[in-house]
Amino acid sequence: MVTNSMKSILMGLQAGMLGALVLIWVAPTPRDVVASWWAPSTDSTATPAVDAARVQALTRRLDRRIPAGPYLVVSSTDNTFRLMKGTGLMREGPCSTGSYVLLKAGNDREWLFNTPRGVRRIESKRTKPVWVKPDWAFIEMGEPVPDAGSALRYERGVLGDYALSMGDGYLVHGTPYQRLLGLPVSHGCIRLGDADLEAVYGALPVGAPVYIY
Amino acid sequence: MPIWRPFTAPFPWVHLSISTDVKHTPLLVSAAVPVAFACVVFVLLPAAESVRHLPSEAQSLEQAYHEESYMAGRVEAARQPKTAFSVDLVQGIATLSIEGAPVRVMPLESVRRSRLLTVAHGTAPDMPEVVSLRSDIPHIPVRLVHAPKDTVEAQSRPPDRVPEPDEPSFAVISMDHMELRLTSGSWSFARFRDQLKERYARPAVVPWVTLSLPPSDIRAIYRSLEPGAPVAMRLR
Repeated sequence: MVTNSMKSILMGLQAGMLGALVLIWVAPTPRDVVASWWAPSTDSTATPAVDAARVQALTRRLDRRIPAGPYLVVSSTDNTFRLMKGTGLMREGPCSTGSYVLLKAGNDREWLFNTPRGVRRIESKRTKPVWVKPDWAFIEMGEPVPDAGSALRYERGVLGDYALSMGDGYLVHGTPYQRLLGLPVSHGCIRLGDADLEAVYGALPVGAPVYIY
Repeated sequence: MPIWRPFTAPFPWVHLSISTDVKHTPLLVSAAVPVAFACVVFVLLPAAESVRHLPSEAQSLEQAYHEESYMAGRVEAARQPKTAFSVDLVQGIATLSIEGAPVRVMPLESVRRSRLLTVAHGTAPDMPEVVSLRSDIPHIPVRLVHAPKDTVEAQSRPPDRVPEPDEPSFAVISMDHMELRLTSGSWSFARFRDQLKERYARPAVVPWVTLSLPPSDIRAIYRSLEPGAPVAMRLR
């Protein structure tokens, strides 16, 4: 026989457990508040005074990091580019960057088709570029890989009218697949539309930085 | 049987409190025990632990409130080759920069900050660095493709499907003793699961700032940063 006291205790425990669950769910907020009560409060007299001249000097130092001449900013997440000069925008539009496809061949060779993030510089520029096909271009098509100097390695017209080399085999170039601009479909190079490529080729000198993020 | 009995059956205390004489003292005491236990374990002890671990010799967070410290942090970050992230809550902008050149400037939709940040000090090092990142999308969206054996097999394959743009609903940038939480405002199961983990698996108090941004900005920030990336903050 359950007495009224026992019933009350059982009822209280159940209600308390429900309350505890609710408390656990909202715990981050009271935790934050309690920690802020106990944390040593900021002594406003101990904070350093802001030196306006030093702020201006730091701002100037930061502004000097922005290239004065033309440079290219490429978003590999949005597949867009911006051609900039200083802080001014010269041109923007869609591009294609690395597809992040990991190509695995049977003989333990593999390639990750990504566009490396960071800063690169234009190392050389050329018109009517010829694509020297690397091994993966044959392997991904299921074709036998020809020798290094083979005529099969050279393909004209697929890189558009211009190419700007950023080193390590990475290029800014054109594409016959204009409808795929804005999508991550390249093998690591930066593909631009014809008009954009012409503008970028004309604006960027050798040595100009390319910021890829 | 009372008419309300089927509805109150899952909640005996409701039924009993209606239908029987309840002794209030044992009820209140027994109800207070689990709540007090949860309060101690999930609120008081973690709060005390986190306050105890505040490094007293570290740079004051108050300094991060100053423009001078923020600018010095950005200049220091500009010297490093990694993509840097800076947050200016006064102007309401977040910036991704590479070697000092701002490559993406993003206006913040809204900001919420931990109460601990407004009163405490001593939780931020001179130059915060990203320790770890997490989100509901992969950091590197790799797709595995096996090379075909020959041209016939390659030609019989369906065309390579272009991936859909993946939209994150949240990303968390963890630094030493602080977190930047980026949210897009849209509900997702992944974010709910992350909140559950935060509540139960890591009960330590970490000062945080929540920034609301569009999903495309969250994706760009999350995929551009990597552990060790410098962060500059101006909190007020």
